[in-house]
Formats: sequence, structure tokens, C-alpha cells
Amino acid sequence: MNKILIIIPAFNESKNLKKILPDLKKKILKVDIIVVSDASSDDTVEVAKLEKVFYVSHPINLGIGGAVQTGMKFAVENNYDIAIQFDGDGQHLASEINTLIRPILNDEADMVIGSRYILDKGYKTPLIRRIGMLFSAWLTSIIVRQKLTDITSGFRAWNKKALSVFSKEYPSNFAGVESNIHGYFCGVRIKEIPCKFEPRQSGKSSINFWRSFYYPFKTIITALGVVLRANSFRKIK
Amino acid sequence: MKVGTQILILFLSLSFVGLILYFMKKNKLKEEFSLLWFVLSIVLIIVAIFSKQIVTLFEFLNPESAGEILLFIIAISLYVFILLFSVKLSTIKDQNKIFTQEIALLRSKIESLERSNKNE
Repeated sequence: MNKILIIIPAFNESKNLKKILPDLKKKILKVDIIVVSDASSDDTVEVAKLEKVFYVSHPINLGIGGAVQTGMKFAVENNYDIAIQFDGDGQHLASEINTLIRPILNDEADMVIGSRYILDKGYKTPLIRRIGMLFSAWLTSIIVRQKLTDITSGFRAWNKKALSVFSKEYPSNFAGVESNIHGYFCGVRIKEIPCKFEPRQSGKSSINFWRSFYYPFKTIITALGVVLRANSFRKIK
Repeated sequence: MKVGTQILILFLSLSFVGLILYFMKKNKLKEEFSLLWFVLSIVLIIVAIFSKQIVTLFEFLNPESAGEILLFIIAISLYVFILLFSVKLSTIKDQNKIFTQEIALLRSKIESLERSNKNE
């Protein structure tokens, strides 16, 4: 029986968590949940306590990547076989979790990314952001020699091997691009599968209009940095 | 370079050295950083004293005055300093992330142990 952990990185997501946590507990049985509050100023931690799930609270804000990595460290320390990133903004569906972890259970991949764009599953992305994402996906795909469509997706699953790699090094921001390339150089097998996403239930996305312009440039620099550090990543492997 | 300008640069550079020493005494500036600023101050003092020789040395750049050379040296030095500080900041940011995560995980463990102790 695999030990599975759902990691929910959350920054002021108490409203969404009140809906997400009961839903996850109802639909996904036999998994543990950890809420990683990234220095939230609202009731994020209190909601986690109330729902009787694990929680960790950062004293200062580290960004979504830092919060996910804390969850990964928790998973490694507590010997979980699979960890799943499930964003606290309500975009991910509990019903898609079984589909997400299937390639890991079948030993086809070490890291699985749920993609909004492989099939048209009704998720709408603003045009400017979509262009930035397309460019980033194209560049990442060239480096990892594998077609990836949704590198910013926060709906991911990792097995023990991938957790061991990423718990040691994981970017704080723009984690999608860097972690994919980093994983590739560490020998992590990546697989993308189509998943359905919902529009964010409340609050604001971290990728705003201006960041959509900034993202492609950041992608180039990030990709360059990771490629230059490829040898050090191979040592982590 | 005019004598007045030389004296002004010397005065400012020596004041700068004094300021660095003050911060070091108050333990507000680590030795590794103070060394960088000392080097810059010494370079400024050398340029102020040996302005004619410096202009000759940098003749290949075809400078109009020693002031130009001085500005060039300051600009390059500041560029290098800022780059070094960015490297240092990146390291500190990584260390800060690790500390924050460790603190959060340890706090979570302590709270969990406290809860289990209460239940017993």
C-alpha cells in the first residue's frame, strides 16, 4: 500500500481551503494532507487545524516553490511514497488525483504533470499569458527533449526518487520551468497527462498581466542557469 | 587634475576610510565587505595622488583628464561590487529559505508532540 501525501501550498487561501479540504477528505480516502501556509495573515492555519490535517507555517513568505519544497521535505522525512501538489486556489479537482498518480503507480514516470492544454478540457487562459506559457513550454521542451505543454501547472505528483531530488533543491518562484529542466538533468522521468482544471475560486493569481510579459525572459534566464548547473544536478542524482 | 580636486578626493576617500572603520568598530560591517570598500578607497587615494601617472598609464583609452579615468575606475568598481553583493544575496536567500523551512517543520513537530503529550 503506497503512502500518499497531498501538499497544499497556501498563501491567504483560507476561503478556498474551507471548500477544498472537506472535498479532498471526502473524495480521496487513505491519503494524508499537509497545508503549507506561506506566512499567511488570514486563517489558513486555523482552517487546517479545524479540518485536522497536517500543517506547517512559514514565518516568512518564500513563494509557492518554497512552500511546495517544505511539503516535499515533510514527505521525505515521513517516508511517503508519492506526494501530490494540489494548489490552494481551488483550480485542481480531487477527482483528477487518481489519474495524476497512475503513471507513477505503473512505474512509467517519476514526476507527473497535469496539463490543461493537451486536450481542450475547457480551461481558459488569458491570451497574453498563454503566449508567454507557449514560449516557455517550447523552450523547456527543447531542453528536456520531450514535448511539454503546461510547464506552469501546479498539479503535479512525484515518487520517492523525484522527491529525493527536489527536496534538496527546488526553485522558490517560477518553479515550473526550472524544476522540469532540473529534474531532466537528474534523471527524473517526466510525464504529462491531460487534466481538467477549474477557474480559481477566489483570490488573485501570482501571474498577473505584467508578469505575463516578464515570464518569457525569466524562462530564458532560468533555463540558461539550470543548463549551466547541469553537472551539479547530476551529482544530486 | 587640479590640486584642489586632488585634496577634495583625498579628503573624501580618507573620510570614507574613517566611516568604514567606524562601521567595523560598531560591528555593522563584516570584514569581507569592508575589505572591498577599503580597496576602492585606496584606489581613489592612489588616483588622487598619482593623477598624472594614471593618465599616462591609461593613455590607450585616450582620456581627456584624470577625472575621466577616476569615473571609469569608480564605475567599474561599483559594477563589480554590486555583482559580488548579488552573489552574496543569492546565497543568503537560499540559506534563508532553508532556515525558514527547517523552523516551520520543527515547529510543526513540536506542536504535534505537545498535542500527543496532552492527549496522554
